[in-house]
Amino acid sequence: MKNFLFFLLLIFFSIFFQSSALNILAIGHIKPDLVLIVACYIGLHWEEETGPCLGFILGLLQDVFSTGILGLNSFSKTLSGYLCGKASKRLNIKNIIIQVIIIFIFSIVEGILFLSILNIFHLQKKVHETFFQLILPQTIYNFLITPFLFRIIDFFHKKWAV
Amino acid sequence: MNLQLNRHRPQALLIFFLLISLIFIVIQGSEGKRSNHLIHSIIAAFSPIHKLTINIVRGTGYIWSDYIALVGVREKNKELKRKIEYLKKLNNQYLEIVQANKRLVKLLSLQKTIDEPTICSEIIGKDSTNWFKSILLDKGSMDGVRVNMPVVTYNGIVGKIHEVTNHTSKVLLITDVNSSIAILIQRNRAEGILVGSGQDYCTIKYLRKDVEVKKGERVITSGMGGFFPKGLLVGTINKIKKNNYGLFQYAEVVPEAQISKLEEVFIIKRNPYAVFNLN
Repeated sequence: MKNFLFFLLLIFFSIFFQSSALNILAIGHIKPDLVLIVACYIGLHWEEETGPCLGFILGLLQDVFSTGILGLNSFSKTLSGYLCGKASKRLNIKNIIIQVIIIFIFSIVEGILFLSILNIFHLQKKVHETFFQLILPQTIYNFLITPFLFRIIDFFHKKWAV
Repeated sequence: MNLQLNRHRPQALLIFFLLISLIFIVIQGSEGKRSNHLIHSIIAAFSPIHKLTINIVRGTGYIWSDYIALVGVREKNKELKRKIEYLKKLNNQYLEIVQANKRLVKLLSLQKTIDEPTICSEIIGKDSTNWFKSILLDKGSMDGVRVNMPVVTYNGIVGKIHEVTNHTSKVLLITDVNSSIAILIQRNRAEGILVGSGQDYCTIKYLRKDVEVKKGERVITSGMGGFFPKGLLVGTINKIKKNNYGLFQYAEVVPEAQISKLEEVFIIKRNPYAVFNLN
């Protein structure tokens, strides 16, 4: 029950921070993808099936608060949640360097996945510009805030959840 | 058997959720629209929290901007006062022109009026990704908001209504890559299509190469397409590029409405389908 409530609060806060409060932290109109970091955190710290389930819910909610294609974020976050669950069995996830490398890789992969899907539907044409002005800065931003965010979630996780 | 099923449960869940997401992507990507009750209910459920958060964030922002970031304000204040005086003079001239214009319109017996009813709305959220540019407003269909209604501020256009729920609506900003608006260069009346770049600026498509365009020129809506009234300020030309090949030149426009700093907007209550006689 405690775990369930913790998940619920985590989803709730990450979605509302992502769509409102996080805008004040935007640097040059680039804000971190808090939802991706949370999806990865869940994948790394809970059972293997929790990652894709909560990743899907988080991504779907993120899609709802965006004007983009519905399913884009749910797809990438489901995949991130699942792969993080797989990675957690083979890697030392307590190591901060491992954590930031995972987020770095998933941010880049998610960006390329988005770019590919949007290009399939002719929605985003400038590949080179999008990569250097959006994907890379967002990846670096995600990379930088991950250690702090993981510590914050860890703190509440240890305090409230089982 | 049960053991086998349990072992493959994460993979099964992964495939199931990926399939659902793919179905959404394919349907939405090919149809290019999204509208269902589930999405609207989720947005409606989150809107009170958005309102609360935005007020807290704004409050914190005011403390910063009103007390901490006041270094060098005296000089800026003097400069702004000078600007205000100059703008007052300009505004007076403008009001005279508007009055004269109104009289002329009446004289010519045109049955058009330039004033249209508006709805004032507060911004309660912004797009949750960096990929699209949209804002969430606190007014919805219960307040008379409809899809495709233009959204403006006192200094320029912002975008148009993209999705409407009972008490909220989503605005597709002019800087979004999916936005396109018919425009005119105010000085020489050259026509073009303003498209979003996904960044802070927009670009003009189909602007003829033989038209002379200068940096700083004002861009206004042309009224073509029927969504935006004619003559609304869009922004100013910031960059021009002419290639040796092709029929058109490239121009970048900086929106006049400071989209990233918006707090309140006006929705113009005009029938977006009037021109097409669909209603």
